[in-house]
Amino acid sequence: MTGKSFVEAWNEFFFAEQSPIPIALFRILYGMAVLATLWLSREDWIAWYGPHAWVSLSTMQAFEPGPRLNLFTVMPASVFWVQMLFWVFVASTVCLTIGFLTRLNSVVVYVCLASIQQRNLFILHGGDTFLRVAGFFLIFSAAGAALSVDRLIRIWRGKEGVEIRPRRPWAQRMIQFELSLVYFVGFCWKVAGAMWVQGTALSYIYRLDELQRFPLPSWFLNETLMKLATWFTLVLEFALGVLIWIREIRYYLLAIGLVFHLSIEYSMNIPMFQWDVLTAYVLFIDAADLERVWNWISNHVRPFPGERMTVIYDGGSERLRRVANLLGALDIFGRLRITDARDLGTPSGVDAKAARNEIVVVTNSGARQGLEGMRRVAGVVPLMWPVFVALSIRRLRAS
Amino acid sequence: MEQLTLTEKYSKERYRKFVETILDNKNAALWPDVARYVARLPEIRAGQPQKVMLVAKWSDIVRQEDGTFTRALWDEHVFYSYDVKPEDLQ
Repeated sequence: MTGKSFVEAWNEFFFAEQSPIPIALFRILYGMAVLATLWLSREDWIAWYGPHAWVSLSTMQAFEPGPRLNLFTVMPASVFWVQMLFWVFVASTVCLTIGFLTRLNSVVVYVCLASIQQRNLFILHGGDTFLRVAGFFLIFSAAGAALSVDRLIRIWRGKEGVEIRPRRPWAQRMIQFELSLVYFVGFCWKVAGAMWVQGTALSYIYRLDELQRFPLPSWFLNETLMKLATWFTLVLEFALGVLIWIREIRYYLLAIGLVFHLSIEYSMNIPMFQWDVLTAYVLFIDAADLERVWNWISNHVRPFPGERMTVIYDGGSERLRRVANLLGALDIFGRLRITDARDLGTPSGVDAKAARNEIVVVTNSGARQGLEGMRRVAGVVPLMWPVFVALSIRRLRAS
Repeated sequence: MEQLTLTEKYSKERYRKFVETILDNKNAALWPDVARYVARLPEIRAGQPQKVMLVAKWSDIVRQEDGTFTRALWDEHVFYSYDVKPEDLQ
Protein backbone atom coordinates (compact mmCIF):
# COMPACT_ATOMS: atom_id res chain seq x y z
CA MET A 1 0.00 0.00 0.00
CA THR A 2 1.45 3.38 -0.97
CA GLY A 3 1.40 6.38 1.35
CA LYS A 4 -1.27 8.02 -0.78
CA SER A 5 -3.55 5.01 -0.88
CA PHE A 6 -3.14 4.62 2.88
CA VAL A 7 -4.31 8.18 3.41
CA GLU A 8 -7.21 7.61 1.04
CA ALA A 9 -8.19 4.39 2.83
CA TRP A 10 -7.92 6.19 6.19
CA ASN A 11 -10.15 9.03 5.02
CA GLU A 12 -12.62 6.61 3.48
CA PHE A 13 -12.80 4.57 6.68
CA PHE A 14 -13.26 7.47 9.10
CA PHE A 15 -14.80 10.25 7.03
CA ALA A 16 -16.69 8.86 4.01
CA GLU A 17 -20.31 9.70 4.76
CA GLN A 18 -22.63 6.81 5.55
CA SER A 19 -26.07 6.21 6.98
CA PRO A 20 -26.35 7.24 10.65
CA ILE A 21 -28.88 4.47 11.37
CA PRO A 22 -26.36 2.08 13.05
CA ILE A 23 -25.12 4.78 15.45
CA ALA A 24 -28.72 5.90 16.10
CA LEU A 25 -29.70 2.33 16.92
CA PHE A 26 -26.64 2.07 19.15
CA ARG A 27 -27.75 5.26 20.94
CA ILE A 28 -31.08 3.62 21.78
CA LEU A 29 -29.49 0.37 22.99
CA TYR A 30 -26.81 2.29 24.88
CA GLY A 31 -29.45 4.39 26.64
CA MET A 32 -31.35 1.26 27.61
CA ALA A 33 -28.17 -0.34 28.99
CA VAL A 34 -27.39 2.76 31.08
CA LEU A 35 -30.98 2.91 32.35
CA ALA A 36 -30.89 -0.77 33.30
CA THR A 37 -27.59 -0.24 35.13
CA LEU A 38 -29.08 2.67 37.08
CA TRP A 39 -32.27 0.71 37.81
CA LEU A 40 -30.33 -2.28 39.13
CA SER A 41 -28.33 -0.14 41.57
CA ARG A 42 -31.19 2.17 42.61
CA GLU A 43 -31.46 0.71 46.15
CA ASP A 44 -27.76 1.30 46.71
CA TRP A 45 -27.27 4.81 45.30
CA ILE A 46 -26.73 6.24 48.76
CA ALA A 47 -24.76 3.24 50.04
CA TRP A 48 -22.21 3.55 47.22
CA TYR A 49 -22.26 7.29 46.49
CA GLY A 50 -23.81 9.03 49.52
CA PRO A 51 -22.00 11.28 52.01
CA HIS A 52 -21.35 8.26 54.30
CA ALA A 53 -20.78 5.66 51.60
CA TRP A 54 -18.80 2.42 51.83
CA VAL A 55 -15.82 4.34 50.43
CA SER A 56 -15.50 8.00 51.43
CA LEU A 57 -14.80 10.64 48.82
CA SER A 58 -11.49 11.52 50.49
CA THR A 59 -10.33 7.88 50.41
CA MET A 60 -11.28 7.63 46.74
CA GLN A 61 -9.34 10.80 45.98
CA ALA A 62 -6.30 9.37 47.78
CA PHE A 63 -6.44 6.38 45.42
CA GLU A 64 -6.98 8.59 42.38
CA PRO A 65 -5.22 11.90 43.06
CA GLY A 66 -5.33 14.85 40.71
CA PRO A 67 -8.15 16.48 38.78
CA ARG A 68 -10.92 14.08 37.74
CA LEU A 69 -14.25 14.44 35.99
CA ASN A 70 -16.28 13.93 39.15
CA LEU A 71 -19.32 16.03 40.07
CA PHE A 72 -19.23 14.64 43.62
CA THR A 73 -16.19 16.83 44.32
CA VAL A 74 -18.05 20.04 43.50
CA MET A 75 -21.58 19.40 44.74
CA PRO A 76 -22.71 19.57 48.38
CA ALA A 77 -22.19 16.28 50.25
CA SER A 78 -25.77 15.42 51.13
CA VAL A 79 -28.24 12.64 50.40
CA PHE A 80 -30.53 15.13 48.66
CA TRP A 81 -27.88 16.21 46.15
CA VAL A 82 -26.81 12.65 45.43
CA GLN A 83 -30.41 11.69 44.69
CA MET A 84 -30.82 14.80 42.54
CA LEU A 85 -27.76 13.82 40.54
CA PHE A 86 -29.17 10.37 39.91
CA TRP A 87 -32.61 11.60 38.90
CA VAL A 88 -31.05 14.11 36.50
CA PHE A 89 -28.93 11.23 35.20
CA VAL A 90 -32.03 9.05 34.68
CA ALA A 91 -34.01 11.86 32.98
CA SER A 92 -31.10 12.71 30.71
CA THR A 93 -30.61 9.05 29.77
CA VAL A 94 -34.30 8.76 28.84
CA CYS A 95 -33.93 11.86 26.63
CA LEU A 96 -30.78 10.44 25.05
CA THR A 97 -32.54 7.14 24.36
CA ILE A 98 -35.42 8.79 22.54
CA GLY A 99 -33.05 11.21 20.87
CA PHE A 100 -34.32 14.46 22.36
CA LEU A 101 -31.64 17.18 22.57
CA THR A 102 -29.28 14.33 21.78
CA ARG A 103 -25.98 16.20 21.85
CA LEU A 104 -26.71 17.97 25.14
CA ASN A 105 -27.98 14.81 26.80
CA SER A 106 -25.06 12.72 25.59
CA VAL A 107 -22.78 15.22 27.39
CA VAL A 108 -24.89 15.09 30.58
CA VAL A 109 -25.02 11.28 30.53
CA TYR A 110 -21.27 11.05 30.00
CA VAL A 111 -20.48 13.49 32.83
CA CYS A 112 -22.87 11.71 35.24
CA LEU A 113 -21.56 8.28 34.27
CA ALA A 114 -17.93 9.36 34.61
CA SER A 115 -18.75 10.92 37.99
CA ILE A 116 -20.35 7.88 39.56
CA GLN A 117 -17.60 5.65 38.22
CA GLN A 118 -14.92 7.99 39.53
CA ARG A 119 -16.71 8.15 42.89
CA ASN A 120 -16.18 4.42 43.38
CA LEU A 121 -13.87 2.58 41.02
CA PHE A 122 -13.88 -0.59 43.09
CA ILE A 123 -17.30 -1.84 42.03
CA LEU A 124 -16.94 -1.57 38.27
CA HIS A 125 -16.72 -4.27 35.64
CA GLY A 126 -15.53 -4.07 32.04
CA GLY A 127 -19.04 -3.29 30.80
CA ASP A 128 -19.18 -0.14 32.94
CA THR A 129 -15.88 1.06 31.52
CA PHE A 130 -17.07 0.26 28.01
CA LEU A 131 -20.19 2.37 28.54
CA ARG A 132 -18.12 5.29 29.79
CA VAL A 133 -15.68 5.30 26.88
CA ALA A 134 -18.43 4.69 24.31
CA GLY A 135 -20.41 7.51 25.94
CA PHE A 136 -17.53 9.89 25.29
CA PHE A 137 -17.46 9.13 21.56
CA LEU A 138 -21.24 9.19 21.39
CA ILE A 139 -21.04 12.92 22.16
CA PHE A 140 -19.28 13.54 18.84
CA SER A 141 -21.34 11.12 16.77
CA ALA A 142 -24.39 11.66 14.59
CA ALA A 143 -26.48 9.66 17.08
CA GLY A 144 -29.41 12.05 16.84
CA ALA A 145 -29.48 12.11 13.05
CA ALA A 146 -31.96 9.23 12.79
CA LEU A 147 -34.59 7.43 14.89
CA SER A 148 -34.83 10.46 17.16
CA VAL A 149 -37.19 13.14 18.38
CA ASP A 150 -34.58 15.65 17.24
CA ARG A 151 -35.06 14.46 13.66
CA LEU A 152 -38.84 14.82 13.93
CA ILE A 153 -38.37 18.36 15.19
CA ARG A 154 -36.03 19.15 12.31
CA ILE A 155 -38.57 17.76 9.84
CA TRP A 156 -41.35 19.77 11.46
CA ARG A 157 -39.25 22.91 11.18
CA GLY A 158 -38.62 22.17 7.52
CA LYS A 159 -34.87 21.75 7.99
CA GLU A 160 -34.89 18.13 6.87
CA GLY A 161 -36.90 15.90 4.53
CA VAL A 162 -37.92 12.26 4.80
CA GLU A 163 -34.57 11.04 3.50
CA ILE A 164 -31.94 10.51 6.20
CA ARG A 165 -28.81 12.41 5.30
CA PRO A 166 -25.51 10.43 5.50
CA ARG A 167 -22.93 11.57 8.08
CA ARG A 168 -19.24 11.11 8.83
CA PRO A 169 -18.80 7.96 10.92
CA TRP A 170 -15.49 8.67 12.69
CA ALA A 171 -17.00 8.61 16.21
CA GLN A 172 -18.82 5.37 15.39
CA ARG A 173 -15.52 3.90 14.20
CA MET A 174 -13.92 4.80 17.54
CA ILE A 175 -16.63 2.90 19.42
CA GLN A 176 -16.12 -0.05 17.06
CA PHE A 177 -12.39 0.09 17.84
CA GLU A 178 -13.19 0.20 21.51
CA LEU A 179 -15.24 -2.98 21.25
CA SER A 180 -12.55 -4.83 19.35
CA LEU A 181 -9.99 -3.64 21.93
CA VAL A 182 -12.16 -5.00 24.76
CA TYR A 183 -11.89 -8.44 23.18
CA PHE A 184 -8.26 -8.20 22.15
CA VAL A 185 -7.07 -6.95 25.55
CA GLY A 186 -9.18 -9.65 27.21
CA PHE A 187 -7.44 -12.21 25.00
CA CYS A 188 -3.97 -10.80 25.87
CA TRP A 189 -4.66 -10.90 29.62
CA LYS A 190 -5.99 -14.42 29.43
CA VAL A 191 -3.08 -15.90 27.45
CA ALA A 192 -0.72 -14.44 30.05
CA GLY A 193 -2.37 -16.71 32.66
CA ALA A 194 -1.36 -20.36 32.92
CA MET A 195 -4.88 -21.63 33.63
CA TRP A 196 -6.24 -20.25 30.35
CA VAL A 197 -3.42 -21.75 28.33
CA GLN A 198 -3.70 -25.12 30.14
CA GLY A 199 -7.46 -25.06 29.62
CA THR A 200 -8.51 -25.28 33.28
CA ALA A 201 -9.69 -21.68 33.77
CA LEU A 202 -13.41 -22.28 33.15
CA SER A 203 -13.37 -25.36 35.37
CA TYR A 204 -12.50 -23.08 38.28
CA ILE A 205 -14.78 -20.23 37.25
CA TYR A 206 -17.85 -22.45 36.94
CA ARG A 207 -17.21 -23.78 40.44
CA LEU A 208 -17.26 -20.36 42.10
CA ASP A 209 -20.61 -20.44 43.89
CA GLU A 210 -20.97 -16.66 44.02
CA LEU A 211 -20.68 -16.36 40.22
CA GLN A 212 -23.16 -19.09 39.36
CA ARG A 213 -26.53 -18.21 37.92
CA PHE A 214 -28.78 -20.76 36.23
CA PRO A 215 -27.67 -24.39 36.54
CA LEU A 216 -25.55 -26.10 33.90
CA PRO A 217 -25.91 -29.78 33.02
CA SER A 218 -23.29 -31.86 34.84
CA TRP A 219 -21.96 -33.34 31.56
CA PHE A 220 -20.98 -29.81 30.48
CA LEU A 221 -18.62 -29.54 33.44
CA ASN A 222 -16.48 -32.52 32.45
CA GLU A 223 -12.79 -31.85 32.01
CA THR A 224 -12.58 -32.23 28.24
CA LEU A 225 -15.51 -29.94 27.48
CA MET A 226 -14.26 -27.36 29.96
CA LYS A 227 -10.85 -27.36 28.28
CA LEU A 228 -12.44 -26.96 24.86
CA ALA A 229 -14.67 -24.16 26.16
CA THR A 230 -11.66 -22.39 27.70
CA TRP A 231 -9.65 -22.52 24.49
CA PHE A 232 -12.69 -21.61 22.42
CA THR A 233 -13.05 -18.47 24.56
CA LEU A 234 -9.45 -17.52 23.74
CA VAL A 235 -9.94 -18.11 20.01
CA LEU A 236 -13.23 -16.21 19.93
CA GLU A 237 -11.86 -13.22 21.86
CA PHE A 238 -8.94 -13.01 19.45
CA ALA A 239 -11.27 -13.31 16.45
CA LEU A 240 -13.68 -10.67 17.75
CA GLY A 241 -10.74 -8.41 18.55
CA VAL A 242 -8.89 -8.73 15.25
CA LEU A 243 -10.75 -10.68 12.57
CA ILE A 244 -14.01 -8.78 13.02
CA TRP A 245 -12.61 -6.14 10.68
CA ILE A 246 -12.73 -8.61 7.79
CA ARG A 247 -16.07 -7.94 6.17
CA GLU A 248 -16.55 -11.45 4.70
CA ILE A 249 -16.53 -13.21 8.09
CA ARG A 250 -17.89 -10.41 10.26
CA TYR A 251 -21.50 -11.55 10.50
CA TYR A 252 -20.49 -15.13 11.35
CA LEU A 253 -18.29 -13.81 14.16
CA LEU A 254 -21.04 -11.52 15.44
CA ALA A 255 -23.50 -14.43 15.47
CA ILE A 256 -21.06 -16.64 17.39
CA GLY A 257 -20.28 -13.73 19.74
CA LEU A 258 -23.99 -13.23 20.38
CA VAL A 259 -24.49 -16.88 21.33
CA PHE A 260 -21.30 -16.74 23.45
CA HIS A 261 -22.51 -13.72 25.45
CA LEU A 262 -26.03 -15.08 25.88
CA SER A 263 -24.61 -18.34 27.21
CA ILE A 264 -22.52 -16.40 29.74
CA GLU A 265 -25.60 -14.36 30.66
CA TYR A 266 -27.41 -17.64 31.34
CA SER A 267 -24.69 -19.36 33.30
CA MET A 268 -22.83 -16.60 35.15
CA ASN A 269 -23.94 -13.75 37.37
CA ILE A 270 -22.17 -10.79 35.76
CA PRO A 271 -25.01 -8.26 35.54
CA MET A 272 -25.24 -6.12 32.41
CA PHE A 273 -21.74 -6.91 31.10
CA GLN A 274 -23.02 -9.02 28.22
CA TRP A 275 -25.70 -6.49 27.28
CA ASP A 276 -23.27 -3.55 27.52
CA VAL A 277 -20.94 -5.22 25.05
CA LEU A 278 -23.68 -6.49 22.75
CA THR A 279 -25.07 -2.97 22.27
CA ALA A 280 -22.07 -2.16 20.08
CA TYR A 281 -22.55 -5.16 17.78
CA VAL A 282 -25.09 -3.13 15.84
CA LEU A 283 -22.30 -0.76 14.79
CA PHE A 284 -20.73 -3.57 12.78
CA ILE A 285 -23.86 -4.15 10.72
CA ASP A 286 -24.16 -2.31 7.42
CA ALA A 287 -27.04 0.15 7.29
CA ALA A 288 -28.31 -1.54 4.11
CA ASP A 289 -28.52 -4.88 5.94
CA LEU A 290 -30.25 -3.24 8.90
CA GLU A 291 -32.74 -1.82 6.43
CA ARG A 292 -33.29 -5.27 4.90
CA VAL A 293 -33.95 -6.76 8.33
CA TRP A 294 -36.32 -3.92 9.17
CA ASN A 295 -38.18 -4.35 5.89
CA TRP A 296 -38.61 -8.04 6.65
CA ILE A 297 -39.99 -7.21 10.11
CA SER A 298 -42.30 -4.48 8.84
CA ASN A 299 -43.60 -6.73 6.04
CA HIS A 300 -44.64 -9.21 8.71
CA VAL A 301 -46.01 -6.57 11.10
CA ARG A 302 -47.76 -4.45 8.45
CA PRO A 303 -51.00 -6.47 8.26
CA PHE A 304 -51.69 -6.23 12.00
CA PRO A 305 -52.51 -2.63 12.99
CA GLY A 306 -55.42 -2.39 10.53
CA GLU A 307 -55.95 -1.24 6.95
CA ARG A 308 -53.30 0.70 5.01
CA MET A 309 -54.25 4.27 4.30
CA THR A 310 -53.52 6.84 1.67
CA VAL A 311 -52.58 10.27 2.92
CA ILE A 312 -52.97 13.08 0.40
CA TYR A 313 -51.47 16.50 0.96
CA ASP A 314 -51.09 19.62 -1.08
CA GLY A 315 -47.38 19.75 -1.88
CA GLY A 316 -47.73 23.44 -2.68
CA SER A 317 -48.26 24.15 1.01
CA GLU A 318 -45.06 24.30 3.04
CA ARG A 319 -46.97 23.41 6.23
CA LEU A 320 -48.71 20.38 4.73
CA ARG A 321 -45.47 19.18 3.18
CA ARG A 322 -43.87 19.25 6.62
CA VAL A 323 -46.82 17.38 8.15
CA ALA A 324 -46.55 14.77 5.39
CA ASN A 325 -42.79 14.42 5.96
CA LEU A 326 -43.40 14.06 9.68
CA LEU A 327 -45.97 11.33 9.08
CA GLY A 328 -43.54 9.62 6.71
CA ALA A 329 -40.83 9.61 9.39
CA LEU A 330 -43.21 8.30 12.07
CA ASP A 331 -44.62 5.59 9.83
CA ILE A 332 -41.86 3.06 10.54
CA PHE A 333 -43.93 0.06 9.42
CA GLY A 334 -44.95 1.58 6.08
CA ARG A 335 -48.66 1.77 6.92
CA LEU A 336 -49.26 4.93 4.92
CA ARG A 337 -49.10 5.80 1.23
CA ILE A 338 -48.26 9.48 1.25
CA THR A 339 -49.07 11.25 -1.99
CA ASP A 340 -48.86 14.81 -3.24
CA ALA A 341 -52.35 15.97 -4.36
CA ARG A 342 -50.72 17.71 -7.32
CA ASP A 343 -49.81 14.29 -8.67
CA LEU A 344 -53.08 12.60 -7.83
CA GLY A 345 -55.80 15.25 -7.84
CA THR A 346 -58.45 15.66 -5.16
CA PRO A 347 -60.32 12.40 -4.49
CA SER A 348 -64.09 12.31 -4.90
CA GLY A 349 -66.08 13.25 -1.83
CA VAL A 350 -63.39 15.66 -0.59
CA ASP A 351 -63.83 19.39 -0.52
CA ALA A 352 -61.08 20.62 -2.88
CA LYS A 353 -60.69 23.90 -1.02
CA ALA A 354 -60.35 22.15 2.32
CA ALA A 355 -57.80 19.75 0.82
CA ARG A 356 -55.52 22.70 0.22
CA ASN A 357 -55.47 23.43 3.97
CA GLU A 358 -55.59 19.97 5.52
CA ILE A 359 -54.26 16.52 4.81
CA VAL A 360 -56.80 14.07 3.45
CA VAL A 361 -56.85 10.49 4.63
CA VAL A 362 -58.46 7.97 2.33
CA THR A 363 -59.71 4.87 4.11
CA ASN A 364 -61.88 1.97 2.92
CA SER A 365 -64.89 3.75 4.39
CA GLY A 366 -64.21 7.03 2.63
CA ALA A 367 -62.08 10.14 2.91
CA ARG A 368 -61.46 11.91 6.21
CA GLN A 369 -59.99 15.32 6.93
CA GLY A 370 -58.94 17.36 9.93
CA LEU A 371 -58.63 15.82 13.37
CA GLU A 372 -60.70 12.79 12.43
CA GLY A 373 -58.32 12.09 9.55
CA MET A 374 -55.36 12.48 11.90
CA ARG A 375 -57.02 10.16 14.42
CA ARG A 376 -57.44 7.48 11.74
CA VAL A 377 -53.79 7.83 10.73
CA ALA A 378 -52.62 7.70 14.37
CA GLY A 379 -54.55 4.47 14.82
CA VAL A 380 -52.46 2.58 12.27
CA VAL A 381 -49.04 4.11 13.02
CA PRO A 382 -47.73 2.57 16.27
CA LEU A 383 -45.50 5.54 17.14
CA MET A 384 -48.65 7.72 17.05
CA TRP A 385 -50.82 5.56 19.28
CA PRO A 386 -50.63 8.06 22.18
CA VAL A 387 -52.05 10.66 19.75
CA PHE A 388 -54.75 8.18 18.73
CA VAL A 389 -55.76 7.68 22.38
CA ALA A 390 -55.80 11.45 23.04
CA LEU A 391 -57.88 12.20 19.93
CA SER A 392 -60.27 9.33 20.66
CA ILE A 393 -60.89 10.64 24.18
CA ARG A 394 -61.45 14.11 22.73
CA ARG A 395 -63.94 12.67 20.23
CA LEU A 396 -65.82 10.76 22.95
CA ARG A 397 -66.12 13.90 25.08
CA ALA A 398 -67.38 15.90 22.13
CA SER A 399 -70.07 13.37 21.21
CA MET B 1 -24.10 -13.96 47.49
CA GLU B 2 -24.96 -17.66 47.60
CA GLN B 3 -27.84 -16.95 50.01
CA LEU B 4 -29.52 -14.33 47.82
CA THR B 5 -32.34 -14.98 45.37
CA LEU B 6 -31.50 -14.83 41.66
CA THR B 7 -32.97 -11.34 41.36
CA GLU B 8 -31.16 -10.04 44.44
CA LYS B 9 -27.94 -11.62 43.27
CA TYR B 10 -28.23 -9.77 39.95
CA SER B 11 -28.78 -6.36 41.52
CA LYS B 12 -26.28 -6.83 44.39
CA GLU B 13 -23.37 -8.17 42.34
CA ARG B 14 -21.38 -5.01 42.97
CA TYR B 15 -21.07 -6.09 46.61
CA ARG B 16 -19.31 -9.28 45.50
CA LYS B 17 -16.98 -7.20 43.37
CA PHE B 18 -16.35 -4.83 46.25
CA VAL B 19 -15.56 -7.67 48.66
CA GLU B 20 -13.12 -9.07 46.09
CA THR B 21 -11.43 -5.66 46.10
CA ILE B 22 -11.16 -5.20 49.84
CA LEU B 23 -9.72 -8.69 50.33
CA ASP B 24 -6.66 -7.51 48.40
CA ASN B 25 -4.01 -6.17 50.81
CA LYS B 26 -3.03 -3.42 48.40
CA ASN B 27 -6.44 -1.89 49.03
CA ALA B 28 -5.98 -1.83 52.83
CA ALA B 29 -6.65 1.91 52.81
CA LEU B 30 -10.31 1.05 52.22
CA TRP B 31 -10.68 -1.00 55.40
CA PRO B 32 -11.30 1.87 57.89
CA ASP B 33 -14.08 3.26 55.65
CA VAL B 34 -15.67 -0.17 55.39
CA ALA B 35 -15.48 -0.72 59.15
CA ARG B 36 -17.05 2.69 59.82
CA TYR B 37 -19.85 1.97 57.35
CA VAL B 38 -20.58 -1.33 59.09
CA ALA B 39 -20.61 0.38 62.50
CA ARG B 40 -23.12 2.94 61.19
CA LEU B 41 -25.58 0.33 59.86
CA PRO B 42 -28.78 0.98 61.87
CA GLU B 43 -29.02 -2.49 63.43
CA ILE B 44 -25.36 -2.41 64.51
CA ARG B 45 -25.28 1.24 65.59
CA ALA B 46 -28.23 0.49 67.90
CA GLY B 47 -26.01 -1.97 69.80
CA GLN B 48 -23.31 0.68 70.43
CA PRO B 49 -20.47 -1.22 68.70
CA GLN B 50 -16.97 -0.95 70.21
CA LYS B 51 -15.02 -2.83 67.59
CA VAL B 52 -15.58 -3.93 63.99
CA MET B 53 -13.64 -6.89 62.64
CA LEU B 54 -13.43 -7.73 58.96
CA VAL B 55 -13.26 -11.47 58.42
CA ALA B 56 -12.27 -13.29 55.24
CA LYS B 57 -13.83 -16.71 54.66
CA TRP B 58 -12.66 -18.96 51.89
CA SER B 59 -12.62 -22.47 50.56
CA ASP B 60 -10.14 -23.58 47.91
CA ILE B 61 -11.25 -25.38 44.76
CA VAL B 62 -8.84 -28.29 44.46
CA ARG B 63 -8.13 -30.14 41.23
CA GLN B 64 -7.75 -33.88 41.80
CA GLU B 65 -5.34 -36.06 39.90
CA ASP B 66 -8.22 -37.63 37.98
CA GLY B 67 -9.18 -34.19 36.63
CA THR B 68 -12.22 -33.69 38.89
CA PHE B 69 -12.56 -30.77 41.28
CA THR B 70 -13.46 -30.77 44.97
CA ARG B 71 -14.02 -28.16 47.64
CA ALA B 72 -11.56 -27.91 50.52
CA LEU B 73 -12.85 -27.09 54.02
CA TRP B 74 -13.86 -23.52 54.77
CA ASP B 75 -11.22 -21.39 56.47
CA GLU B 76 -11.36 -17.88 57.89
CA HIS B 77 -9.22 -15.17 59.41
CA VAL B 78 -9.68 -11.66 60.74
CA PHE B 79 -7.80 -9.36 58.41
CA TYR B 80 -8.71 -6.05 60.00
CA SER B 81 -9.91 -4.80 63.35
CA TYR B 82 -11.19 -1.27 63.94
CA ASP B 83 -11.93 0.46 67.25
CA VAL B 84 -15.11 2.44 66.77
CA LYS B 85 -14.92 6.09 67.85
CA PRO B 86 -17.98 7.99 69.11
CA GLU B 87 -17.77 10.39 66.15
CA ASP B 88 -18.02 7.45 63.75
CA LEU B 89 -21.60 6.94 64.89
CA GLN B 90 -22.67 10.59 64.44
